[in-house]
Amino acid sequence: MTVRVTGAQKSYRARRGEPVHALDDVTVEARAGELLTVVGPSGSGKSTLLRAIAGLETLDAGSVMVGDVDVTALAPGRRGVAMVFQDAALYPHLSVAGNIGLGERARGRGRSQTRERVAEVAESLGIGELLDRLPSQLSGGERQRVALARAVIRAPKVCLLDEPLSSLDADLRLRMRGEVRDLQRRTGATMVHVTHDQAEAMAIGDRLAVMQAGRVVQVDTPERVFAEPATSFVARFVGPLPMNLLTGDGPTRGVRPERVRLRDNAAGDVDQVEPGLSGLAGVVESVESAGEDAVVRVRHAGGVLLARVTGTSRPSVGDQLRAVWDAGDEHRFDRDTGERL
Amino acid sequence: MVLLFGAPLAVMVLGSLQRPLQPPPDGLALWPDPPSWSNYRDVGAFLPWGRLLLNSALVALVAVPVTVVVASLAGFAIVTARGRMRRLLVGVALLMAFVPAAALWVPRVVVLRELGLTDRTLSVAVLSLAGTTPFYVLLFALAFAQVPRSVLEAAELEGLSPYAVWRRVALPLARPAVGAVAALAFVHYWSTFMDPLTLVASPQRWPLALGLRGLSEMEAALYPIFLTGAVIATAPAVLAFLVAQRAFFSAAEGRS
Amino acid sequence: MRGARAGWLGLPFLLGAFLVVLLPLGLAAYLAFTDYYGFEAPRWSGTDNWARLAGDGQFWRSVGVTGVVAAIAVPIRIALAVGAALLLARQGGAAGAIGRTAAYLPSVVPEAAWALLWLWILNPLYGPLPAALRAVGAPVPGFLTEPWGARWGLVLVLAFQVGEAFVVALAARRTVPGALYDALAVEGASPWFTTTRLTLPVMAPILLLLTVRDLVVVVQNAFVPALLVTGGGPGNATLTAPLLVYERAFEYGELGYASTLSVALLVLTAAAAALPLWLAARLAQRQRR
Repeated sequence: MTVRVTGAQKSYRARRGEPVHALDDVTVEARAGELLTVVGPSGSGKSTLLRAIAGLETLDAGSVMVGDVDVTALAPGRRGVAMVFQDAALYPHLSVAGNIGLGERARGRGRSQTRERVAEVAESLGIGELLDRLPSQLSGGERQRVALARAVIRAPKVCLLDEPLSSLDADLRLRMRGEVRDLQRRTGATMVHVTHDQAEAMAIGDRLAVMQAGRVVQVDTPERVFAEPATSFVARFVGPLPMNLLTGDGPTRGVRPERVRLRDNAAGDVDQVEPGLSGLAGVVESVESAGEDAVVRVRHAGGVLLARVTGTSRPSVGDQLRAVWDAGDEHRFDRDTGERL
Repeated sequence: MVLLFGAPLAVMVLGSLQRPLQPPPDGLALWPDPPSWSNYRDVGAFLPWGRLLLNSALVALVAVPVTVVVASLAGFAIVTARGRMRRLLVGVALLMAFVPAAALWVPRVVVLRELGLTDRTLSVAVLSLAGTTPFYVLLFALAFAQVPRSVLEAAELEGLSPYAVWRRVALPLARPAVGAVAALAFVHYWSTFMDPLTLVASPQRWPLALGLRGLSEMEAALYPIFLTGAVIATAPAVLAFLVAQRAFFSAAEGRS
Repeated sequence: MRGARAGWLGLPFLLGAFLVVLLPLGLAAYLAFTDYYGFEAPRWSGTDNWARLAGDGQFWRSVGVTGVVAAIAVPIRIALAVGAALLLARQGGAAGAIGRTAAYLPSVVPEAAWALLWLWILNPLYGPLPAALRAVGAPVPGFLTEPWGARWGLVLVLAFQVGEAFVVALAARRTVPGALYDALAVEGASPWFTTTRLTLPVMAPILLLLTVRDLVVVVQNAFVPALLVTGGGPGNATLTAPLLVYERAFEYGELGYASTLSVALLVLTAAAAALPLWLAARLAQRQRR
């Protein structure tokens, strides 16, 4: 089922000064059966967007469609969407079984039927052993699985995930990413997933919607968002390392640190460029090891440039060198608006 | 709900404005017509309310600050202390909350009489040495729990003693709680009946709340007079609460 | 903060509590085994007082009266306090402030003034309540003249002053994480379902504590109206245990035997409180993370 948000506006009145636009004319669509990941820094409005889809926030203007139904005015419980919360939001007084089943009971399903469904769902998520435990007796991963089960039991057509993995430690987070993907594939539900972690977004989203300051600035597949960022903000936000941006008189030029090559320049030549290459001269400011790779900070006349280099021959701090890249790898953005040219 | 809780007070004021010594009304006649303000003059003949007010004010003047200091120190200690001292404080506060006051009347009189502290205007204020009620200690503990621990730790790293942290960091940050407890303590000492009844024998040293006792033996037909006494005794407490209600609820609910 | 040093700040409170609570408690335990009238030193009398207590019909009847009044008044008070707190917890702004103030206001009225008010409200000839009941054709219990009427009168006097419980319930309600309500809202739960399946169960440990605390409060608060409004009557129908303690100690001067009664009252209260307290501790344990 498609989820479509059109022209959404939401602002909060700050105690003093201007109202804050949490959502500023947001239009975005999650296609039926896809996993759309909404990603952005904190305060970009992504959680507000998700809560508006769920009906936990009312919009100042705009509409939310789930399938063919305009749900803008409907209460959260009548929109047919399930939701997984940050920190799991488990009911502390209920057992795992009680947690998974409470929603079914709220929707009027009988006690014994609920019990059967709960057992089924718990089994499918590998928490069948835990049904009698209390939330206080669960590990972080188990809690999150219970939260997923609570959503899955509704066999939802639409499932919303609000930073479901952010409270887990790194190792577990990697494993749970896979489980979220599996779950989506198995249930075929349309999922809208919110995260501030661009790596997580790249890893599990079918498509990404990148948000900045209450606006959606790009919606595309992870590969294309990485390869063709729509704005200089996206270019810096998405990717293992932020894109280098070089400002000057003309348009802003950008190059990914992964595309930069470093050459010895002991003579301290000025920017000497071969045909088909761009480059600049600078001094190594720091070298940060990243496993097989290293991230080198090069100070140049216009600022600092990052380069990701592979192999064993790493430059040392203070080395004079030249950073070069293929002219074809260069991105160009409008100097004022930041939009891709 | 406002109606339900507000009705008794409204009835009290209305009753105090009716004319005394009338035959029993036929049916429900709450609205005084015309209002009889002279009750507020006549009540003086039955109730020496000037002196009683002074006594009450004196008790409040001493007991309220002592209560605030003792209860806030205890609340602060409960939030910051660890180990045996904390358990002891919590234990004593809980014990106080769950011991019926009636069980303490007799032995408390005996103890304070031995110490020569009974039958004085200020005898009642002795209770403020224990923070008056554990509820105030709880209010302070809730308020101090809102102060980020790192702020207190930073202050201690600056070389401040726990006392100085309480005085210069925690207390200023918990201003609503101070206001709330001060108002509640004022209301408490303004209202307290049992404590002066058991601790103060001489009528000229009674506070106002106990002084009202004499009015309860009056003829029913004089009800406007004794309700007038009730209004006079109630008004300062209600005023104090109204002034402090915002601070009080924000302290209790942990919002700012 | 390093705990040990901060703990000393609690010392004034401990000393004060020792003077007005702990020392008197210990003394009561001692005086309960003595003959003591306040003029000469207490004389050890062994278990004489306790034998007298066992056969003291008046005491046990007063315990019964106290129990009955508390059994009716405490549920009404808790329902009022918690009901008001749940209605107002999410109500901000002016309406919230007015509601909160109104719910607390009866509790700031001095007990004696409150008693005088009810002395009038319940009066069979002049009182507005009997008049109102007559006006709607309802039966009028003799609030000050018949045993059960007087007990109901006492319950009415006690029912409104619930400020402390109201505030504690309000604070407790606000500790329930908002995300739990969001989660249940998405499931389509009705307000009734949310209240009975989420709010009240999560608050259960605190509600039990409140109930116990309220039992204690009612037992002591019943004293002033029993003294001033019903005078213990008619025919000892509202002679509560604290009123009996007071009469024994301060009207008959039997401080020794009054101590015995005090200690007995304490023990009985503790017995009544034990089960709910134990339950509360268990429930809190379950929920603790």
